[in-house]
Amino acid sequence: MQLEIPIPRTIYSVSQINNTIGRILQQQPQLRNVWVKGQISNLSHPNSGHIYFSLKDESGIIKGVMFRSNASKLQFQLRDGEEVLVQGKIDIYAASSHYQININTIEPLGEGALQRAFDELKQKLAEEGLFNDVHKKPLPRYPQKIGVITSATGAAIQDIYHGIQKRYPIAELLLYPTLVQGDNAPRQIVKAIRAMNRRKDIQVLIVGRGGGSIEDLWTFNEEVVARAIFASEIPIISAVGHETDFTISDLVADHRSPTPTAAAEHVVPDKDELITQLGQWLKRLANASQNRLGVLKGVLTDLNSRLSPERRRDAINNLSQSIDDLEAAYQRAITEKLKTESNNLQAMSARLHGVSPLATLERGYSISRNMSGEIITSSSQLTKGDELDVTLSKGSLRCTVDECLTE
Amino acid sequence: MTFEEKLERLKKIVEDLESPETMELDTSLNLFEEGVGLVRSCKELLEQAELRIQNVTEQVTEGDDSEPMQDIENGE
Repeated sequence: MQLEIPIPRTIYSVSQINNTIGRILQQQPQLRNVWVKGQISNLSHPNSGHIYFSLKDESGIIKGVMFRSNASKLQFQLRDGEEVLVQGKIDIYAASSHYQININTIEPLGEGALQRAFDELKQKLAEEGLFNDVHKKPLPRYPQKIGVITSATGAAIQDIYHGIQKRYPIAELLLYPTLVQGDNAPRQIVKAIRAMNRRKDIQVLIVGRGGGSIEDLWTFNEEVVARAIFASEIPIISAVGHETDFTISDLVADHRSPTPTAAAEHVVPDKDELITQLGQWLKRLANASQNRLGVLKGVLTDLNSRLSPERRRDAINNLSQSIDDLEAAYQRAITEKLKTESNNLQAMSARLHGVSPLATLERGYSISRNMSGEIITSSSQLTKGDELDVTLSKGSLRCTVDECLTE
Repeated sequence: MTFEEKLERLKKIVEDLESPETMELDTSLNLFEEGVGLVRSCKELLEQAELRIQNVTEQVTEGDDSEPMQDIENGE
């Protein structure tokens, strides 16, 4: 016969056990913010918008969940078999008594991960039509106010300022300084684009930065930046310093410049070309007026021969007066034009002087020519008794050869 | 007139003066003088201007900070 000895027992409910284990997990600070590397498996995207998958390595597996609020911020598509780095906290899922990673962020790992995120965003936005030419706004030819969104301390704003100062100094730059790399940069750039659009006085925007590594330039591959550029009513030039690769910003912008300096050159017309154009117009004004003058003089002669003496006198007086006026105005125009051209001439003659043979003569060299005017460069071109002319900086000499010496 | 308007006006004047259609003498004289004046003023602007730059953050951030970032992240 067996004696039953009552053993003191504490009886828990399932929930109590799970709660206790959950509390133990929560009390471990190192489990509340963990980074875990592994391969995705059993990926599932239910309609709730949450994402479920397991992370595994060679010998183990852990379940993971990413709730909708975080999942909606993912910049790339997850795939089974992919290596990722996740960040989150370890908690317990009471309904099936398993612990899991509650994930905040996921970064793709391995070769070309950034490239893949780029390709996926590019494809997504292309499908939405954000890069279509039909959305590209024309840039103004003569912008008065040019908005610039970049770092206040970077090389880009310097390059843009100097480029525009050189070409079209009658414009005005309005700088909205932002970060151009790091986590806060996209948000600031989006805010700046919107703020610039609320002003109604800016005709064109330049958004960009100087060159850098692909990570440095990543701000310009962010979806929020791309969408803000697309939404801008002001035409935008993307100017991210990199010659070869395109950023998403480049693709969605109305115009892409490979560097901030190139953007400055593209956004405004060139002063020198404009001044040349003005000179041509002045010339055409003068020519047109001269032609009119000729016509009027013809009319005068014609009137002279046809009209009666009294009417002739009045008409001629009127016409002569007009011709005098036109001639005076024409003279003023010619003077104006000569002034422009004499400025050009001065500049050109100063340049020419540097390469002129006269400048060489001033340094003591001379030029010898035979009687046919051919320049003598070798003693073999002459024989004893020949005459030659020697040109000096001031004046020239007629000489006779006493002796020809070889080198 | 903006610089662009001046250029457009000047171009129009040149074309009008060159047009064979007869024009009042006074008009053409006035056009001519106006054209020369425009050439002079455009050229002076280009040669004498100094590029101005101003920082616009303060003027435009007002009321902007209250804008929820959520809107941006969800797109337009």
